[in-house]
Amino acid sequence: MLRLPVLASVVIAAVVLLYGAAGLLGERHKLAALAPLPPRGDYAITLAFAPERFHQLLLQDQGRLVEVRERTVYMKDVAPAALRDIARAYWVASIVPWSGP
Amino acid sequence: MGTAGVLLLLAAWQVSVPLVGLGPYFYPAPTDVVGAFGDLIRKGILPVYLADSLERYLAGLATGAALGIAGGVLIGLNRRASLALSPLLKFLFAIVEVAWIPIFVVWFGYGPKTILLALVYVVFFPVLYNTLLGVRTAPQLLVNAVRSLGASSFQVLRLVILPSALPGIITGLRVGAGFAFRGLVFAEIIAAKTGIGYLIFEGTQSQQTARTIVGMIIMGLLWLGIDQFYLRPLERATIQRWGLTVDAEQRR
Amino acid sequence: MSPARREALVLGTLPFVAILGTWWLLPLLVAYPPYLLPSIGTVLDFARESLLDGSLLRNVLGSLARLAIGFVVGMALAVPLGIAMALNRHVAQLFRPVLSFLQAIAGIAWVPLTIVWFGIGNGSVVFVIANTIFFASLYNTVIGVQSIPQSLHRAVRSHGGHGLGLLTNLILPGALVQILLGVRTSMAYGWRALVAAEMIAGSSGLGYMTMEAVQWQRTEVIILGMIVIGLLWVVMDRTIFTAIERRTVGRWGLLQR
Repeated sequence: MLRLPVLASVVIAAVVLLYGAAGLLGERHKLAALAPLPPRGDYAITLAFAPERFHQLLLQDQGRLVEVRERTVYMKDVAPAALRDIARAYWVASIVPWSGP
Repeated sequence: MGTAGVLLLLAAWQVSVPLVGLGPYFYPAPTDVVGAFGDLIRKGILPVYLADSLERYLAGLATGAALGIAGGVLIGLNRRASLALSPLLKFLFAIVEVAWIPIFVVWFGYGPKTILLALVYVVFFPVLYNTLLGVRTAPQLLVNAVRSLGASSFQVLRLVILPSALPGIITGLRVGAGFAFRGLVFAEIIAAKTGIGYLIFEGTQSQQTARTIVGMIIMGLLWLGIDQFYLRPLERATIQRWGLTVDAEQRR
Repeated sequence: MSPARREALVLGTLPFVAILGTWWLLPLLVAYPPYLLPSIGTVLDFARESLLDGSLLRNVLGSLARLAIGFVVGMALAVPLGIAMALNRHVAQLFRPVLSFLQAIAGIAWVPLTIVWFGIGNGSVVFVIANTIFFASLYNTVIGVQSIPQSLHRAVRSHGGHGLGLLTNLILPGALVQILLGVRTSMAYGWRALVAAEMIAGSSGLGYMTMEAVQWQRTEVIILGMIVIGLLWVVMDRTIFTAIERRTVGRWGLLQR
């Protein structure tokens, strides 16, 4: 009788889980070369495209956004948890340490 | 045949673009919209906005429904309370949730609180009102019968009052869910920085009208999905179980 | 007045009195900046002022006029299409998916686009209302025509009714009940759409008045706007829509509900 709602919920849950799992895989891949993460680090985060306001706002929540040059966003004082959050986003192409401006 | 209608509309839209010739800001083509859709996915904007909108919608719906059901039962159990509060509730419902948004903005600023409150408000009243109606019309005969068999007040509530109020609760939920969905889009246009409503608004603001249309299409699909996969089955289930026919679909 | 009605009236006024009392007492008990909640006096002063200079009436009439125009346009499009869909299976099958999809995005979501097309002002607001009313009453028209018993169709046909005669003698009156019954719900959506559209895309009207006041934090304007919006709906609902509903039900008898 209520098969349809249950089925729809299962499909949605599956999509959300897969999305999360793919994010975690991406995170491990992008951060593999950076371990161990310092308590506060400065990074150059390169996207697959030039960041829009949307991406800048999201990144601003995770640390101090210093500069945006073409496809790369330079950030200071990023905590490990925040960096993992950033790395999970599929539109982040690569993350490398940055030695400051 | 139905697909033909959709295809016909799309074809007419695509063909009319060069004829209208106003440029993609005024009149983007379907191909522009598909491009914008791909762009929004590639840049990770759409998943975040979709999740934010759904989260807000569910939070508002759940809170509003819970408060509405609880309030409806509490008020409905007392004849005097329902007499006293009915006019006020009717008046408050008449001040549509849309009209509360300005004062919410003054009180809570542009942000999630304002959106949540507006959604809770618009779900609360139809659910409360229909629950109240259901509770008030619970057959007194059954209440007395169950009570004389030694049922506690809680058992009376669970065995007689809630079941007889259930169709009303579902009706209220369905009405509230519809108003809340439109309310969500409006609230996001006014008071959000993310979400499908914001996408619809921001698209034209940033001269990317194709993004606005992507937002509108997502919104339409979302509502069709909610309706088809949740609201209608829920309604059918209550009707089958409790033998109530209010839905016009059933009559045909 | 019967005792039961008197009791309902007395009890029903109590919460309003309590709210007004709290509102009146609150500034005496707690300190808060007056812009958060203006006193009753401030709201009344503004009400008098805006009544005297005619601005309130202008806004109310402007809103009602836009609602009426949107309603007429929406109905004028919905009724013919609804009848065509109900009478012709092919039309129905062709249009149904497109329309049910467009219905899902009906209303306020069109505002940003209409601002691009028509600019800020009446055009955008009327478009949104007409759009909302159209989709809300289309469905009712289809159901209305479909609920006319097949035997009546045959009866009219066998007396030589066809074409225009069939339309004016059977289909329009037959569908009218359902259409009129749907007016109340359509208007509930249309009213929301009006207020919302005026807030984003209006240049006058009740919605514009309330949203505009946010910038200047003139809460007395906002609160007066809310009260007027609530009262206006209650009055319209009581005098027009409920009356239509009662009359149609009384005159034509409600189909099996």
